[in-house]
Amino acid sequence: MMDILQFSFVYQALIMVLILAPLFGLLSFFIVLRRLSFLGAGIAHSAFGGVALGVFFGINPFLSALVFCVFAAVCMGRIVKRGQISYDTLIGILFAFSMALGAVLIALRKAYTFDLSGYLFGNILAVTLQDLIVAAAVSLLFYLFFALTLNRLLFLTFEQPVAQLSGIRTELLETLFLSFLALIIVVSIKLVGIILVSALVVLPASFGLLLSKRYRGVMVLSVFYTLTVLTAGLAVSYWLDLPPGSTMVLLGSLVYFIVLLIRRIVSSH
Amino acid sequence: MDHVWVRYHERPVLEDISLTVEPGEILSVVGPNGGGKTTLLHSLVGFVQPFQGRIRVLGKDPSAHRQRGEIGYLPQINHINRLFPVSAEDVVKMARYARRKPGCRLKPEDHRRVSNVLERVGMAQWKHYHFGSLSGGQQQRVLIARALALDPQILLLDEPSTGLDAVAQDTFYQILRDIRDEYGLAILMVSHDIGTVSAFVDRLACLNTRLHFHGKPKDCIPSGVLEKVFGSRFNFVVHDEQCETCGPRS
Repeated sequence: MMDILQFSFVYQALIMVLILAPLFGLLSFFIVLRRLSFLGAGIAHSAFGGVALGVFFGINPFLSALVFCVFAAVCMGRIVKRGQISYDTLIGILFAFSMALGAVLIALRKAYTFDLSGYLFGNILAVTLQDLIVAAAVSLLFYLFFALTLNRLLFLTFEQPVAQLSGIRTELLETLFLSFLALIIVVSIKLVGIILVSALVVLPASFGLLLSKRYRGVMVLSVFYTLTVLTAGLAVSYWLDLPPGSTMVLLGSLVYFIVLLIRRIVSSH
Repeated sequence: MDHVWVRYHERPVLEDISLTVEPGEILSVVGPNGGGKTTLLHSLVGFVQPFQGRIRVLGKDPSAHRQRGEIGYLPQINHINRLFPVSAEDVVKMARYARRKPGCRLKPEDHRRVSNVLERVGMAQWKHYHFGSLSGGQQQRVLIARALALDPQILLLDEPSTGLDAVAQDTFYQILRDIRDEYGLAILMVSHDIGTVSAFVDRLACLNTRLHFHGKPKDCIPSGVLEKVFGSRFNFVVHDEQCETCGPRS
């Protein structure tokens, strides 16, 4: 069993999982309860446009995706705030635009060596030491933000207009939150992939809400679920030589539906 | 509000509205759906800017109150996610956390205040219950408690009686009167229900884009006003202290 750990890339992927899992567990809580599940998908897919921009202009795709996604997330928040267009519509447009932009730029650049599949579905071989350092820095910043603003985020998520009238700077808080969401999504793309990373902002809190009616309980369960599913998914993907992101999401969905079924059976008795 | 006009996309929503609420007074603005009631509240809290006229809340521009929490605001309850994993007490604590600096814990006086306001609205024994599992009337009382926890000087309520049965409405309005008496708050609520509300408020205003009546509910509403506001004929009976059928209210 321990032979999995003899390869350094597995160590690096495992450390990445341990860094990212709690972040998704906590982020997911606010995304699901604000009914912004589609937002994760929108930001993740806009990363494809960002990656392609990097490939096209010959700069680090990770950096270009980072800037592109944070910019897209903050812009989406601002545009929706003006009330001219809904999140759903805007994300739907951005989603398609970014994928199309990515495909066109990669075709123009004729980047045959570009690992498209790795970006779309994740590749544990792609996780580098540099990625780990960036992920650790992002997670430290997020924990600081979370510790300072948990109760404000809770109020904002529960009832935004009243939070605003109660003296909370909701616009700033929302911008920071969306920026962290974009940062964490981009950091995790190499491991999980663009197409599947959006599942990680939905599944953890959905699982937690099945088992707890207290916000602390939901957050603890979300973090526990994400840690378990990502670690197990990584191991299974290694042993069966499967894409890690797909394996993690399949496993996570399976666990969610099993617990949902058990809960239904228990509550019906 | 002094001769306030509000438009959405060139469509007039409020026309020439002049309205005042005094401390220790409950004013209800009634009118049909789409008559501009929520817009009136939104303009009072600064979410909507009038294109003409002047609004002063506690002598200041509405936006000036955002940093201070001087306005207790209860929007319509139907947009709250009932699955939200918080207890009644958690909901009230949100207001106290909003008054503290980011990252700060609540102080003993905050906990005392939370207990006091929950007690005041008769929800102390339900404080550990999941908010979504409470009845509509209980949820409204918790939200009133949260508004009170901010120590506001004015309470604004948007359709607070929606979804409540007659008994729950009675209890809710009685709590509002008790709060008014105890804290001396100015309370302004909007409602499409002119029936029950008129027995509990100090003044009544009828709104359908324009303000058609503004006075005490016991004053005779001029003939034709309700027809103008609601668009149909009305037989309106006020059940108050003088009502021979109901008898005096305790």
